[in-house]
Amino acid sequence: MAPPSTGAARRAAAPQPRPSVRRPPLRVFQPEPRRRTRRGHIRRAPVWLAVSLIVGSLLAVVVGDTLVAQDQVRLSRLQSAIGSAQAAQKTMQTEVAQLAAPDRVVQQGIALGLTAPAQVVNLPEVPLNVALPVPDTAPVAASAAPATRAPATRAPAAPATRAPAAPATRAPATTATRAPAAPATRAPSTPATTTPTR
Amino acid sequence: MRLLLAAVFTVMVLRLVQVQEFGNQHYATLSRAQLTQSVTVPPVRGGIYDRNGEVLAETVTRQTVVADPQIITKPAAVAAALSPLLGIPSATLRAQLTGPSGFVYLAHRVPDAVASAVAKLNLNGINLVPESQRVVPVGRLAQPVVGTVGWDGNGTSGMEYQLQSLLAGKPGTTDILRSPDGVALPSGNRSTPATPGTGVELTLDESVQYVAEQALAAEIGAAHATGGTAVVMDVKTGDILAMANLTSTATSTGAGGTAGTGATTSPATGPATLTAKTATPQNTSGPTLVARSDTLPAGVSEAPSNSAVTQVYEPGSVFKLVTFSAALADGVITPNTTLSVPGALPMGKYTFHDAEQHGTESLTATQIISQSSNIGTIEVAQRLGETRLLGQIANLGFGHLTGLGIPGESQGLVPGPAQWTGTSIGSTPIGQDDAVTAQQVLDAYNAVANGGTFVAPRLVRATVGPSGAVAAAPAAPTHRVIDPATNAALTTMLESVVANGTGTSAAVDGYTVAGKTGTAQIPSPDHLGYIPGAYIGTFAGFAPAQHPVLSAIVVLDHPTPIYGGAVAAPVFSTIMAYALHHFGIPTTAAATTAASPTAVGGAGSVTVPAGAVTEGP
Repeated sequence: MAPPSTGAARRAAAPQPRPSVRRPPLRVFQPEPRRRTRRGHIRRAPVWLAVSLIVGSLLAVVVGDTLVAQDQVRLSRLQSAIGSAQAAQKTMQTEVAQLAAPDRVVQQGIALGLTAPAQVVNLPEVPLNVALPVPDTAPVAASAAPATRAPATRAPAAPATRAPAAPATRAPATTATRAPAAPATRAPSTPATTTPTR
Repeated sequence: MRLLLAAVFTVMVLRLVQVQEFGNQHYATLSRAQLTQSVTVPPVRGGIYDRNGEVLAETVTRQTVVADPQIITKPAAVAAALSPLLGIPSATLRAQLTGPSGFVYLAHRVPDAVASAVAKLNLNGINLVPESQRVVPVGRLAQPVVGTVGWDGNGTSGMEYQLQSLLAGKPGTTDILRSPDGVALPSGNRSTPATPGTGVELTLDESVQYVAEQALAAEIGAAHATGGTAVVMDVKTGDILAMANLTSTATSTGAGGTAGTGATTSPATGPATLTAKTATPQNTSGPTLVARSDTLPAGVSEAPSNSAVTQVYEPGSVFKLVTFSAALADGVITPNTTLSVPGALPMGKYTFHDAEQHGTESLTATQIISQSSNIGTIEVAQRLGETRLLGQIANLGFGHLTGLGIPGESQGLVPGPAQWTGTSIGSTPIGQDDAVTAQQVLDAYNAVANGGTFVAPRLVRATVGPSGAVAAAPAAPTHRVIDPATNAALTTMLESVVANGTGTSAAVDGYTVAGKTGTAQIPSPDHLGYIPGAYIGTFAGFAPAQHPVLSAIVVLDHPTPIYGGAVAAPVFSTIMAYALHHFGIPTTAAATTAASPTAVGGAGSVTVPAGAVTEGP
């Protein structure tokens, strides 16, 4: 087919305008309000829940960590205070031991004017399981001379020659507990002795 | 461009993952190493107590002031603040605070008040580190037995050394996390607690120990002795109630205690001693004994070692117990067997004599031991024989360790069959051919006191846990060495020694005492034979004689006068008198009283002046 001629050909080739069509008047499209469908609501809930949980957990961790740190500080202070108190107790125990040392007691005694006795008189033992002699209450016969009483030379009740009782062969106290250093309240242990034979 | 950015971003992400996921431990470790300061927490050393819980040695915690110069920004100001508290010149402190080190000690073991004041200053880079200090509240009382600790806090002698593993405990560690500013972060601390040491309760009685030391010291001074030993035992349990070892610092011969070897005596030394009130913060010599003033008389101090078990000596006549116990047991003699005792007894190239010259006398066995006749004893030994004599020596514990486990304890030197010579039957029975310790002699006499049953001595009564729980130590083992009948006869013979023999000075008012004196020559270290004029005086015995409760031995080295009955027996009497009253032992009815006024109503422990009106029955 031969190429079209110039202007007429171009005009002939150009598309012919369509006959005008009446357009309806334009108006702004007002979209309908979005309706929340049940399906959409169900889809968003887990998301919010998850977000809430995550945020809440992070906050809880932060708060918990803060509380732990505070308690750790308090614990550290208490431990330090315990250590100080224990050290102070040990120091005071030592001071008590120093004050109760035999040489200090002796020096204090000397300073107060006390002296060692020149003689020690041992009093006789009076056993509690032996009855005392019954006193003689018979009236004394009357005589011309005034009664003079010779020095009574009562033989002392035979000093109990019981052998020392058998004390502290106590069984080992495997569970006995002792508060460290209460020296004033502990009676000295007596050495074990034989059981009396009479 | 986009590809390049994507590649870079990818590399960064991968690197982040690598650092945070796979290398986090490594970097966390590096971080902690930079910020963490590891501090060793020393364990609290166990205390040593007497049988009544009185403290003999204990560890207290003191604070040591340390500094980290690398984080101190104002050393001059810090030094000025600390100087009045620590008592150290400000210039000295400033020099320490500007050093290159990251850790420096400023003051060791400061008093608690000083430590509190330093803490209140809250100075950056200044910290308090706990350190232990060994304290001895009773001074040097029983120091040879209790022992000492060294600079590192470990025991160096005595019980401190012997029971080191029990007393020491185990150290712990504390890792302190600090910020770059040096502030300790409480959340970062990790610690392994220290295990405290276990305390030990000895069998010693503080009061009896004190009296024993004082009485022994007084006699050392009065007799110009070079040293002495005194030991008191509980007859039944073997508990050592007192163990005094003293040496004279006034003489230059003789070792502390009972050795007559001529060694130079040196006063007991130990770590520097401070009183509690004058402790200076600058003390950096390590753990010290906070001791009170020495209360022993001038010229006497604690011996450097526990000579009661470490030093041997020829016991002399106290050894006659061996001869007579064996002879009685075998029926060779009875207490009333009469022997003809000459004034001298030639044997080989030697001639044996008694302490006093005399002609030929007829003496009973009781008189022989009462008057301590050497010749009479040799005659008894000749009847007994070598084999039985040597057997009895071993039977009574001589030549063996006592079982106390004290470092340096000697088992003694006693002759065996291989060493027996022609004159051994003369020297061995009278205690001049053997070397024994004072504790071994006491153990033998204690066996007699205990009815013929040998009981091993012991020094540790119980252990005390960190919580205060007391666990008793096992009882001492026992075994019979003398039959009861022989023992009873022997006891009566030993009573006569004190009643009217060589040991009358050992008598105790209100109690019957049995025992034996000893006066032995001291062998020369340079030549065969003995040192002229050098003797060791001994008295060993027990009371009350018929129902013994306590036994004791006193030994004096180089005394003047030389006789055991004159120097050792009085000390025995003093110590035993105190101990018997201390433990509330009732008096004995038949006891002799020294210089009593008119005794009324027969033998009794109460004396009433004649003529006084007393309440009638």
